[in-house]
Amino acid sequence: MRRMPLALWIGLVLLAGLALVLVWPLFGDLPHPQQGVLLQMEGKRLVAPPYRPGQLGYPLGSDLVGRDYLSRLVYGARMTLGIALSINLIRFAGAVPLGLWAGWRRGWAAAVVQAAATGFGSIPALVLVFITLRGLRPLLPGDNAWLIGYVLVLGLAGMPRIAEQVRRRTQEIALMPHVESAQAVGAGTLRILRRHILPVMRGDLLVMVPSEMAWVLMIMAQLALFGVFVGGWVQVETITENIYIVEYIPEWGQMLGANRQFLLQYSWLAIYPGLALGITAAAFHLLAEGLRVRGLRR
Amino acid sequence: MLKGWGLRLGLLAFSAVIVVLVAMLPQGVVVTEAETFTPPGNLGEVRTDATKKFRIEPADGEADGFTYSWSLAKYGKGLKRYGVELVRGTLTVQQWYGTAQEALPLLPLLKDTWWLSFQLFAAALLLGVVLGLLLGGLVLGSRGARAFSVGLSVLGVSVPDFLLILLGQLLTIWSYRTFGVRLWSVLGVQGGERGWLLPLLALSIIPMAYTARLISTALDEAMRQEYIRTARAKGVPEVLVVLKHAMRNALPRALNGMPAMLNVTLSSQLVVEVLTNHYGIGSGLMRGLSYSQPHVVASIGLIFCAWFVVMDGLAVTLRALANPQLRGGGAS
Repeated sequence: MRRMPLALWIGLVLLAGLALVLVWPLFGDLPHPQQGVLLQMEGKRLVAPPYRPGQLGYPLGSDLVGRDYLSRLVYGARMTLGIALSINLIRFAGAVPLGLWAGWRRGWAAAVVQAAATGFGSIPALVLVFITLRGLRPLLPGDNAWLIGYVLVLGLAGMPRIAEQVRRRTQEIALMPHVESAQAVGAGTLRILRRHILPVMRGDLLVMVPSEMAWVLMIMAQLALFGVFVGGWVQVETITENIYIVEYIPEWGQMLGANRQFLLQYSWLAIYPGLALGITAAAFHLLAEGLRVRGLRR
Repeated sequence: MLKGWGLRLGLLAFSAVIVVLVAMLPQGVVVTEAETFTPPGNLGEVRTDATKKFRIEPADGEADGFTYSWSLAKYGKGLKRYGVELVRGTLTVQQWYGTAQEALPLLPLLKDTWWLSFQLFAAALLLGVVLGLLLGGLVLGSRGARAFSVGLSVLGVSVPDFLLILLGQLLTIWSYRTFGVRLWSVLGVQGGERGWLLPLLALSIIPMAYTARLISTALDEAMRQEYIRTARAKGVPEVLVVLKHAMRNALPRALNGMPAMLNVTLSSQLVVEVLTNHYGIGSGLMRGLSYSQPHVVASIGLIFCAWFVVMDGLAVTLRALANPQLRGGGAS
């Protein structure tokens, strides 16, 4: 059996771990991610949150209002990956047909895709998405409108680059003998693209999908550090009339962005979601790299 | 080559228009204030007994005390004013790193912050590329050296910059608490110390990993070429074969990947500056957004576009100069 690249092994092991985290709430007994407590007895002492990792039965500590951080991270995996997957779906759903069509048509269609990719590529992705989302924020009141806007902007921002990659590959495949033969026997454009070009491109797409997933997760984390994330805030007032303003949705980006100011006092609040995002992005990167190397070996 | 630069300037104009149009969007927003203020996105209030477990649920009804609408006329007016002030060089800023509330001229401030960012960027790029060349060159060594080179470069591209910084911050805190040794300044967010070592290291990882991967792939292919075999057959020492023949042909190919590397490094610079308290242009962008100053955001966006296009153009020009076959045109 051909030896599997190490990067692929590591990527697959990490993603298997992620899959376990995703199904954990179905089998494990986790506290509700929105359940908190503002004062607890530890021996003879009254202690207030945030509870440290390992304190009072919180394996990964708690947030500022006593919500279990492990539970929020586990539930957050679903939300975060769901958003990243939606963004990726939009990117590929738009870019693959567009790239195929432009690569087949050539001429002005190819030039438009190429220009869009170069134009978008000439602005650092984070700057473009950050400015757009912050510019649109007041126009998207409500959490649902904001979530849709966030997913759409991130989806559209990456589309030209993927379309350009697909276009280039389509042009290469279009020169292959089997495509010429299909043309010679009178096959239509749609049939050639679907039956003769897309299957050859499967290997490339298999590498592009996890690679894009990693970039999407990275940009979500970077945006979160700049205060751009999905979900809103909630204020919790204690009996001593202190008001805590904390993030509501358990989503890794939001947990990282909202808590980065506490890095020096309560480091786990930012480090754990940061680690979760970082390791997941690295896992997808390694998977893409492993698949690329395996493809080259073949 | 000139055609390539012309194309780049055209793209710069195109990107600049997009950036300004998007950045100035908030200028058209009309806010109708309600009687009470609640922050946007607020989901409601939960009052609870301290020792009782509680569950946060979103409140029903209207949580936000503001209504927003968008006026094209107001947007157009804002755009026009920005354009005029930009051309005249009379743009001002009200809030800038906690300075006085009086209006300060924006362009000199941007020049200073850009210079600070450029120093960091240039140093990180130089360090990253030099380390990347060395690391990439290891593919020609033993099996272990090759594995080390490939592993480190894959890891460098895979591990996010923010994670490196967060871990770097924790590492120095731990080292100080445990051994009394500060590895670098504790670069806390908003108001911490300032320093160069951590941002430099964090920002140089991406160029290092990219360069190593590009060089190792290009060297791998170059070493299989006929001219290498010929040089070896003629008895040219291996060092000269690598430096004079393989590297010379591998470098132009490696320069092909420079634009993508620059794009990622510039994106990363924003994150590094904000996380390490580096008062450069990335932090300036953050300030512009935090204090709702769209003209600051637009101006910094323009600087980023121009910066990237110039760097990208230089990379393509270098590639053309390094490869005589490409001297006819500069477009990648």
